[in-house]
Amino acid sequence: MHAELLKLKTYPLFWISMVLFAGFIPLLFGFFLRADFQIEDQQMDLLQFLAPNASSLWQYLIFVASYGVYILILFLLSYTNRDLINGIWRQYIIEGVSRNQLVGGRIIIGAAVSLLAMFLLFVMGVYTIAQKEYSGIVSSLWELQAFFAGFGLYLFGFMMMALLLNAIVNSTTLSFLGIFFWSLFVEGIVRWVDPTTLSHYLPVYNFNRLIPNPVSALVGGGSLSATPEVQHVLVSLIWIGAFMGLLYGVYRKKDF
Amino acid sequence: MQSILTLSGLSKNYGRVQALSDVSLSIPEGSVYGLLGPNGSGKTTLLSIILGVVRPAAGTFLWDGEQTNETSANVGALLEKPNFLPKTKVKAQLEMMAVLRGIPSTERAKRVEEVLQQTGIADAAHRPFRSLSLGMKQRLGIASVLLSNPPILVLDEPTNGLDPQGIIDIRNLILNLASQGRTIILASHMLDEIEKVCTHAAILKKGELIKTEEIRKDKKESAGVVLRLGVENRPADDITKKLENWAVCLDVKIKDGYAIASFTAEAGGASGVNRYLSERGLYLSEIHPHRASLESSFLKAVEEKS
Repeated sequence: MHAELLKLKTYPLFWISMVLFAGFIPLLFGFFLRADFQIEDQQMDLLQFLAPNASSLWQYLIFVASYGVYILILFLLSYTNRDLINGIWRQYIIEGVSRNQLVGGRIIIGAAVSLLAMFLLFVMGVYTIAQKEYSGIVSSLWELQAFFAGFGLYLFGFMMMALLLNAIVNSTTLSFLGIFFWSLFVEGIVRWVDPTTLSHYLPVYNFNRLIPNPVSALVGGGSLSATPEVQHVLVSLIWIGAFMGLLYGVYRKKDF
Repeated sequence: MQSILTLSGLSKNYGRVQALSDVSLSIPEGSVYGLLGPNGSGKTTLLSIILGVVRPAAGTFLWDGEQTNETSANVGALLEKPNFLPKTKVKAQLEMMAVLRGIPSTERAKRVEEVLQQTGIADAAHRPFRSLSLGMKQRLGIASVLLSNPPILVLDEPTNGLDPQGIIDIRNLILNLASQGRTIILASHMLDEIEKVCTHAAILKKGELIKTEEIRKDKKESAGVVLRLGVENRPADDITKKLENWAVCLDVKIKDGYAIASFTAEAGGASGVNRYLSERGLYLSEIHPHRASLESSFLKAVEEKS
């Protein structure tokens, strides 16, 4: 892990993706912070219309930040493929590092990046909410702690899925497009064919339900619960476990 | 001599291509063992398997008597080409490798400096890997291998891309390391390199082990003399007939119209052979020392296999 950290420190895309992720939230919220609209001669602030309190604003923040997962996936894939293309994993194996240690190291980086993203979301969220002078910023997040943890699991799940796909196709571009294709088309088709049973056990369907979706709640007129459903957490954990197990299996047999 | 590495029936195929076929051999501890063969003979595949980067389709290997599918912790290896990050500086790469090898932090900087000096790339310490010439990259690879002073070295074409002086430097370095009691496994397609450096050699062709040979022992046995003999206007057959019954003549054969014969030291060298034949009515028009090298052994083995 020490050698891995030294290597990570010198990898520009790591720092770029972290800055991008940290900048992503204020950038999107900058739009909301400035936007206002008029209804019957009454000037309304868009953000306060959508999120009247700090708790609902956190829900929007987590939801919006979840799209930053693609930045993190891109970093992890390119970091892994840089090592593979330059024969670094091959050299590490020659040096006596086992395949399990290599895969384990990459899983730890995925988990660490998820935690770092959660921290960045917290810092940028507090900053963004403070700009609008909401009250109870931290206590409102405490109410949503399960969704906040779900956000970390969501990032980690997507990254494990991307790593597994990359272990099979060995390409950053193909793996990245594969995640899109799977999320938008494959699961979409399955949900269209079977909207009730099978589709409820698909990975992306369950990952998406680990985070709040205030937009659909707003459109549907319903209210959001404060925690993700246990069923989605369990299915997501099973999928993440399966992705990790398969990742070990693929690399155990792979020639470098 | 105790065996440091034993291969039993190693095979590997890439799709329909049989890269290695049922290779079994034993590498003695303290030897400089050469793997000799043309490009595509399976040398790198064999080394990749014993270093754990490629999985064999069949067979096993034992490092120091222990069956494994990974490399030994005592091995330092350079396989095919040095693997480093292109934009990272030479010294930083070696420091990363030193961390990986478990060299204590207090010794790391000193050890990195030592191997930089030892391989002659100290001047390039602050240059990124991608800016190095092929020869310097190769030296960096060897520097990385030497970091932890491993007792076993595996080097795949270590003089690839080096200029003549570089080749001599690396060869001397290998001989120096071997003199310290290290076991060195060296793959090369250059006969000369194997012959000058190795104590043992295995000849591979199209993934098959054709022959194993103890180079130094052979040299001692033929320490007498090997001569190429010719008589004007007479067939080489006449010479072989005269020599066949001479007790000090170990072997005689015809090649390109000449008789190639090896003698023990008791033959008295070229003059002794000339005297013996002239006394029997054969006056040699040509008598030259013939180099009974690994080259002839290699070519013979390859020809026989073909």
